[in-house]
Amino acid sequence: MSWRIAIPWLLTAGLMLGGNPVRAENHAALVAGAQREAQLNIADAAPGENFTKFLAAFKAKYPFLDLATGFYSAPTGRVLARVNAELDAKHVTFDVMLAANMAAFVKMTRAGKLQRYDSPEYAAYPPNAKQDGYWAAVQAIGVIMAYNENRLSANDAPHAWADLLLPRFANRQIALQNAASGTQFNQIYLLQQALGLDYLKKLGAQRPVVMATSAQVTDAVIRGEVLIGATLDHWRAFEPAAAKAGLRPIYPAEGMPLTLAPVGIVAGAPHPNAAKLFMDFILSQEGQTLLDTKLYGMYSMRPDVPPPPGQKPLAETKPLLPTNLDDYLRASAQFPAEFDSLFH
Amino acid sequence: MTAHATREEGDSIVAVEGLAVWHGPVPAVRSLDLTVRRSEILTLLGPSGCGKTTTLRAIAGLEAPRGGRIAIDGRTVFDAGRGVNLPPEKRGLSMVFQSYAIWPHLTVFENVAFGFRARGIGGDRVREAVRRSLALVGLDALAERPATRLSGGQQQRVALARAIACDPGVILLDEPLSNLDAQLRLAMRAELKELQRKLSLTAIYVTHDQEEALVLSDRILVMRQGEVEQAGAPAEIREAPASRFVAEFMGVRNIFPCMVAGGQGGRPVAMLTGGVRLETRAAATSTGPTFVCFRPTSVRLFAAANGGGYPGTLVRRALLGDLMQSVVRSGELEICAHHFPGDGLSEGDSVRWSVAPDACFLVRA
Amino acid sequence: MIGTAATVRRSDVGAFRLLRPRWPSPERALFIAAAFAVTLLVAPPLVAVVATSIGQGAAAALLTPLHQPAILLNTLVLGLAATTGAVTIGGGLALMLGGNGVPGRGLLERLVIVPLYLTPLLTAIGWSWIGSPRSGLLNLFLHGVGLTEVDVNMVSAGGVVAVSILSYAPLPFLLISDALRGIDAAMIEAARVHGASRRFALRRIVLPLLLPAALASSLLVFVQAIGMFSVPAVLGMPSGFNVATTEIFRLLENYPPRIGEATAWGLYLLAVTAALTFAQSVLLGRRSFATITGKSFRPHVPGRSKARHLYAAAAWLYVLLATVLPLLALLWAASIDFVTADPRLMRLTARHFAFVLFQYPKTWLAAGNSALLGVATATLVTLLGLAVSWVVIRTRLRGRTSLDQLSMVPLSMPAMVFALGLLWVYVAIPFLPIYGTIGILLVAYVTHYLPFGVRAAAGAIRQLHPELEEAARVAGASWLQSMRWITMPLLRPALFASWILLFVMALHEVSASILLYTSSSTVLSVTTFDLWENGNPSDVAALGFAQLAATFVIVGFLLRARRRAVLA
Repeated sequence: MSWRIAIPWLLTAGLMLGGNPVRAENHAALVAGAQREAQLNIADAAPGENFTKFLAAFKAKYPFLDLATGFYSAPTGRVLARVNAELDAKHVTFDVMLAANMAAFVKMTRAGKLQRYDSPEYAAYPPNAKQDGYWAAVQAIGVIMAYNENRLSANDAPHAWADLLLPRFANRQIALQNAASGTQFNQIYLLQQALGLDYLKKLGAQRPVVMATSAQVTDAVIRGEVLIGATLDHWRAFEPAAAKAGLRPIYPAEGMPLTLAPVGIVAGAPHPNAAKLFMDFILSQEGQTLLDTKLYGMYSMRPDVPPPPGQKPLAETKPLLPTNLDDYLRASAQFPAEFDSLFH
Repeated sequence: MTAHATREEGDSIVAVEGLAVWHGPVPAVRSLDLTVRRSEILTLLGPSGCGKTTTLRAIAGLEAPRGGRIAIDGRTVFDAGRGVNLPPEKRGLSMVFQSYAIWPHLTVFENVAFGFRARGIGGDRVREAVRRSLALVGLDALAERPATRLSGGQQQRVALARAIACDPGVILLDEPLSNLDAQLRLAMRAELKELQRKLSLTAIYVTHDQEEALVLSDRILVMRQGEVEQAGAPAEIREAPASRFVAEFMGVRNIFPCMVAGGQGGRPVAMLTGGVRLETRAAATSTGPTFVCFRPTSVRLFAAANGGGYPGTLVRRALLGDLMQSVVRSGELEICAHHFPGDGLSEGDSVRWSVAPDACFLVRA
Repeated sequence: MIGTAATVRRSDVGAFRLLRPRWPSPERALFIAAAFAVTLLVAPPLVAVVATSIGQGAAAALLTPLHQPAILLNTLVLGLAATTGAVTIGGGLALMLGGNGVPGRGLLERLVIVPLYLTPLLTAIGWSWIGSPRSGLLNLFLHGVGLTEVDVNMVSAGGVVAVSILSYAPLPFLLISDALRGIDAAMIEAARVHGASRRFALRRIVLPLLLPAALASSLLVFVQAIGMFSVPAVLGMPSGFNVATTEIFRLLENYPPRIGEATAWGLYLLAVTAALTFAQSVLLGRRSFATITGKSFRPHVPGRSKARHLYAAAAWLYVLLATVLPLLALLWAASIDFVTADPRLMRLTARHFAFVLFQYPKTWLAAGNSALLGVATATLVTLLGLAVSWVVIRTRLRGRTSLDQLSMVPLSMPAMVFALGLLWVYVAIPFLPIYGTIGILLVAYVTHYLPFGVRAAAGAIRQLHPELEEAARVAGASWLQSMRWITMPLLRPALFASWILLFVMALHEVSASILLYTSSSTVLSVTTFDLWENGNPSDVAALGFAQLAATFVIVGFLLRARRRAVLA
């Protein structure tokens, strides 16, 4: 065999067998850098204790990283406020931020407050769930309805958003989530896009009860305080304890507004290498499956990740996402006042 | 500057010059001088608000005077001009407070021994001194009793024992008897005098009770509105008050305004309203309004039928202890007389009254 | 005779003012240290709040509260209603239990103040389950006994006011009871002898004498009520009854956080409370809180009133509503599988307690932090309060009144507003490592509770005759020795009592903590609120009940220890 033919074949074979050598080299450099940094500070808005389990899996891969010392867990609004306060004061302690407010991430990217890292994992995400190199949605929370089967039969339960306007759900029989949290704006905006402002006004006329959080909406339905929980985080309806208490989910016929929770690296992060390793992990198929399918019961935007047990695959739920980001941002600024006028 | 250009017998233990103490905008003591000689009891006497307690506290270091000098046993403890102000614990005094200030969480022994403990002295010497002091006030049996279980009189004695235990140069006493009932007060008064004599204590005593002052003191300073009105031996204060204020304070009940004229033998005659003329025993030295004074015990009353004296009506009488008090209205004058009961007179009677010439004296305003 | 000494003439007196001889340095040193500490605690956040509300978005933000007249009105209504109710009930209980031979009086007096040791957050949560319009236990009970027309709804403005009244009534009760005890029996007896009936004597003699205490407790309750976050958050927000604190919380939870508006609300709250504090000091002037303190003085001797059983019943009713029912609600919710009003679905379980105590990682972290903060806060506040009060009452140093007033400022600052100020101050000082740690919480707690410490110490010091300290000084003890051997031992019982109360209050602080905590410096109140927002309500109940049980045990233990120490 002539050497001139063999060498390209050997090279190609080598490439295919050894993986991308450039990739491998980058990864090794990142690990070396992370070993020097030895710490990663995460600001996380994902609720509950499941995120700690997720971090444990990450730590198993990189045991030299201290994830506990700089870990900050709080609701979305507070996470964003804290990180931005630090950025304003030019004293950044956080490396990575995860919060359920896409508008915020868009704004921060435009303002140069996020650090660019072209992780190879970005390729797997659809364009409406990321801003290449800056952030991608690692959790997708659907907004659905739920009822208590001990109080309502499956027939009498609503099947579509429009059913909420029926007379039997009037007068404090519906529970909504308060405007304060970041997810609520997203839900109401998408419902308005899909069903019109008129729908929201009529929903307001039903005099729903406004609860502080999604957990309380769930509780109100279980307790029997209201008949229907509207704007419920979908994964709550699939929790075993809730199911045992009689909670049943409803995928509305018109579609399911989707709230995305992006993750990104903060500009000026003190431990950039460790941050990049983390991005690679959380955006990967392995990471997404662990985080969403196994731990949280939430949807992932990666098509190669299966839906959590018992839930409809994402494509079948008719997911609703914002189409015009500028309009989205503009509306987000006016939101709390608008919500108050509709529902108080 | 250490004091004493001259040393007399019984030299000054406490010397105060020009003391001025202000409470906010109000002067409580204005430019007061006093000296206390060794083994003497000096009493500051006066009504409330006259500044006597303030003076005492200033000497103790419990008040911050505005001006003046205080020297104790030759040491300057306070000098406004040179910014000297020793704290109380460095002045070498002891004090009996009006409220006794017995510490409730300590025993009687611990209360009395406190001064030693504060100076870091302990052991047998302390025990001996404490027992001796308690014995002197008659409380040696109560040494181990918690202070909360003492009666008022017992507390007072403990306070006294505490004051004498450390052999202080000077003892300050702030109305120590005023919280006791009448009988106990008399008994304690006698005991105090006895104690002072036995131990040759030097003391400054504050009281508003003129009787107490007369019994206990070697010298009295009568104070009024922050100043000394009169200073002198008890007899002097009693017999020759320098002003109407002092006379009133010392219990001279009959004080009347009068005009002074010369009389036989150089003795001034006081002319009162209603034509009453009384011969007085000494010449008043100052000009200005003059008053004639005489004690109730100097007044003699007799039935109207007898001659002599001036006419009057017996308006009321009351029995005060051993003596009878009779009030006689004579023209515009109201005469107060103290005499033994059993004179046969009754209220409403017309009587005549007179006063011995030696008993009247003149004071200025 | 003394040698040459300066003769003091009147005209010289003025010159001496500069050389005024002072007390030795320990007092002055204490004054300076206390003033320094208090200023450092109080001033920066106050300035930061004012500056921030003017800086960020300026005048426009300052006016936003005026665009929300409903919230302004709600806040004022809450304040007024809570104050009126609390003073009426607390004062009423004080008068009823004060001297009528009420059976079980000693026990009742102790039970009535238990809400001080509870936290309004848990009381509100308990009542939200008892008084929910549809699934509330109370309504189910009432409907079950046939009163189907009655519908109690505690998740409403009325509920917020009611729970606030129940939580704060102990404050006027304490202050007015104290004042009542301070009235010399002779005063009332004099009135009776001169022909006044019992009721007339009450109206014309007792009530006017209680006025300073009533006014003082009114102000206290009002400031607490309008600055309170937990009760309106739990019972008000779901029904649309929003007040200034929930609005601040909402504005900051938002993204982007509307800082200018939030601090503008804070400034409004501050202005209202400052104005009222000023008005109170003008009204009461120098009138002391103690009534007659004569030499021979007996406290009011109780008689026996015909209505004493009625009074006892009223007191027990209060205890039931304020303490027993909420606690039972918590225990109930914690012990069943999930919170439901359907008796058929109630299943007993211990899994919530197990989760909270053994599985939830935040529980012990938060408990440890809370305990540490509680001890540190109580100790620091007691010491600082003692220093300030001692300087104010016992010395004649110039500027001590300003120190007293400065240390009272936190009373007019709602804790949440104060926390805002702290955030801005410490985020901007990177070299001070307390941001994001327990340290910043400690700063917030100490400053917030400083006025209580100062007042408690003031009360204790006033009971102590100054001549006790003076006697020690004249007997030869230095200032420090007098402090150590005389003042401190005599103050210890009273200070220990206030220490215990401060410890418990610090354990339950929520309004400031909720803005300043991080996951490593979280405290029990925040963890409870977090579970309430995001978790299982039964878990909240389990955590709450466990927390209260532990508090009671610890406090009981401490009180017993104190009683033993006092008797010894």
